[in-house]
Amino acid sequence: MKRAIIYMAAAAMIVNAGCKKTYDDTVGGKTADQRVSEVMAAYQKKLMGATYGWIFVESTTGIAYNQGVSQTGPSIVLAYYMQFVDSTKVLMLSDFDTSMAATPKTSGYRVKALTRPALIFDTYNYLHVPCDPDPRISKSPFGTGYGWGTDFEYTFADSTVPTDAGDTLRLVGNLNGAQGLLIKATQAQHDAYLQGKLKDEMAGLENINSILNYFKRLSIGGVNYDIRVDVANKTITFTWADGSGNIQSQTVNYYVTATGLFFFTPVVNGSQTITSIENITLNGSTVTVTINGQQGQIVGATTPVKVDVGAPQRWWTYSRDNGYFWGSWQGFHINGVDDAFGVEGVSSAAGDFYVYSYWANYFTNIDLFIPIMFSGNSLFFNNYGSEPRTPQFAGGKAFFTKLQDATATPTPPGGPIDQSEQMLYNPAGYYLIQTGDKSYDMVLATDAKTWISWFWPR
Amino acid sequence: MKSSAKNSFLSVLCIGLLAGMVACKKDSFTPLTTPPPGLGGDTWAQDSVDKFIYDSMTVPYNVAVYYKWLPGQLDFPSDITPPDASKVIPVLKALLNVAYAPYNQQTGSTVFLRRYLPKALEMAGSAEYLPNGARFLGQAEGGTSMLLYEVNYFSRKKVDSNAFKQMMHTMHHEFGHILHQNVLYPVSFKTISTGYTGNWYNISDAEARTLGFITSYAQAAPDEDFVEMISTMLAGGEGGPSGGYDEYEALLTQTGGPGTTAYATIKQKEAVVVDYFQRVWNIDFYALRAKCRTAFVNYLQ
Repeated sequence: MKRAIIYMAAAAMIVNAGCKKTYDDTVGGKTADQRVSEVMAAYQKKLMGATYGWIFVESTTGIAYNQGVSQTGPSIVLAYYMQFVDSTKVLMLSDFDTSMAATPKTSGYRVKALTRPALIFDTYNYLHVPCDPDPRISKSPFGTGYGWGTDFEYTFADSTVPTDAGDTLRLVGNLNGAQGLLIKATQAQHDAYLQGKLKDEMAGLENINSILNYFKRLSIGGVNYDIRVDVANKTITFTWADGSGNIQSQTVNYYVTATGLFFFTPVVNGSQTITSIENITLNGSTVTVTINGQQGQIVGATTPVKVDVGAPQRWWTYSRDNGYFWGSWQGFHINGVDDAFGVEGVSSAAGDFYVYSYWANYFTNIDLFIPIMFSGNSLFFNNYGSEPRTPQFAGGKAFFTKLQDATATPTPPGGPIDQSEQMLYNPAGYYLIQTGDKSYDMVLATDAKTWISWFWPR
Repeated sequence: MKSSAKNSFLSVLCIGLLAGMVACKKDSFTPLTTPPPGLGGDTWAQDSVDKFIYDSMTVPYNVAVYYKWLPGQLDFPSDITPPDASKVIPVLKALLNVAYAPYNQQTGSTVFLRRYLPKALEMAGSAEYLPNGARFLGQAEGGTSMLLYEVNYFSRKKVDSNAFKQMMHTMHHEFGHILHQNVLYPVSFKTISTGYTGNWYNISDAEARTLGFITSYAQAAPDEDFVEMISTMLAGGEGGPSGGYDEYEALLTQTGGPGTTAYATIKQKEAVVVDYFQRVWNIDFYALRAKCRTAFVNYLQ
């Protein structure tokens, strides 16, 4: 019996301890629901409280999701101007396309309690275009069913309460994990956006690409760079010679606001750091810019700022070693005209033009420069083309010479393919500029106004 | 210890008493003054779109329209975009005029649709793309909700009539599901054709017609076959002799015409559909179809 009493006492203690509420599940006397409601209201107030609106900079991870399946591709950085006009409406401008840069579009938004407080752009606006799963709309390189990996449903990702968050709010996308920064705009920024300055800045950017030479030479503070602007992917590449004379290259994502062009990560060349390009203005054939408060200029050049001596050999060897070809969708670009010879319109007995190929060492010591044609659902070599000898490599250039026709059918003289072949065999030779892991631009050494872009189809 | 069952019983009883006393004691209770956030759905300031929905859909048809993105409402995790708010009213007007009005005229009132239309109409701006390359243009869920994709592509213009027809086709397709989810079609329908396959998307519409299916999607399953028959007869179908959308009769020429097995198979299915509408819903299907076509032609600009 004594033992039974001990058990009873112990059990009673356990039960007692288990049921006694020794803690308070409120914080400052408020329940979780009350706190969530307060945070929601605070975020709402914060968004609407910015008199001059917000600049939203969104960067992707290079991964896009659909149906739980991911695709990888290029990352992109976009900048928006946003004004949360009332509790349900937001107006915005976007640097994704010039058509979205000047006319504000209004749509819905809401602050909602999901797993964490969330900001949802709940009807279609410029922000949704890069997310659109239809590549005809988003121009996404990730394939059908995928946008660029941007988002329109975000979690507030700050660890502080909204009232302490200051002038910047951090967001993380719920589907693709895109990173967003909402930064309060100043009155000057607000005015510039609403006066259409974003569109002007984007047009200024295209001035750089109006220079006909492949090499666009930026001089700033006595240092020279070649810059290459890729408007479709929103990247800019700087190439320069470092202190030891070695070639250096850095590609950065850029975004455009109403006050200039900004780099998501800075370009660092020794003591010179470049984070933005402002006041891009075209004066005749020269583009003037302001960088780090200094006046600079961009002019066309006929030779690279620093020749990549090994590039031609690398380009050729890669094709030979991998037993496959370099492809070009459009053939030669000449004097500002894409597909200057019109190869895309070529039809022959083999089918319709699909891609131009250069295949190194297709036969022993014989290369192949021939269009690949599309017929039915299959690809075929064209029934005419050219066979160059193994190129000569000298001074960072490749020199092509013709060995023979590829087939018994001679290339029709004067046509797009004949013109392309003549161009390839230009005795001036070509610089090879590596533009990615598996892509090169091949630039004619005479005036650098003729080039062909090669991609690796595998 | 003189063990006894009595003692054990007593101790259990005591523990029970103690536990009961302690557990039930509550020092303080604060009633909720506001509901938990989001419980009962979101509310927002009503604008002209919301008013149109209330006046034209909710009051006459008892249908709620969801056009604002609601996380988790559509398939997750998929890349689907919400509709452009400016497209919502035009799409609803088209639905009312081209898809709903013929039913009302045929049945004499809005009672039929008010009763059978799914109570939720969800909208998405884009389609939903599946990993196999197919895409969803609409979905119906257990007679309770209907989901319409590609709202952002809507246009009333004649040049875009293919997209418009596709949307109407989708609506009739989904409403067909709702009808058979309420009252199933004769089971014998399922045995008219064999060869249902999950690989329907590898078969062209024209090829499907030579096999006795009105569209390639009809080959997915008997349910889809049945509603594709309804929607194709009411709104036409894709991949016809013109290369785009064509009326049902034109599509039938792709079977090889009268005398072929494929033609006979589709005609047999047509007869089941017409009979089903007459006997189950008391609707003259051919008369309904004539009204649908008139409404469609009149609505194009």
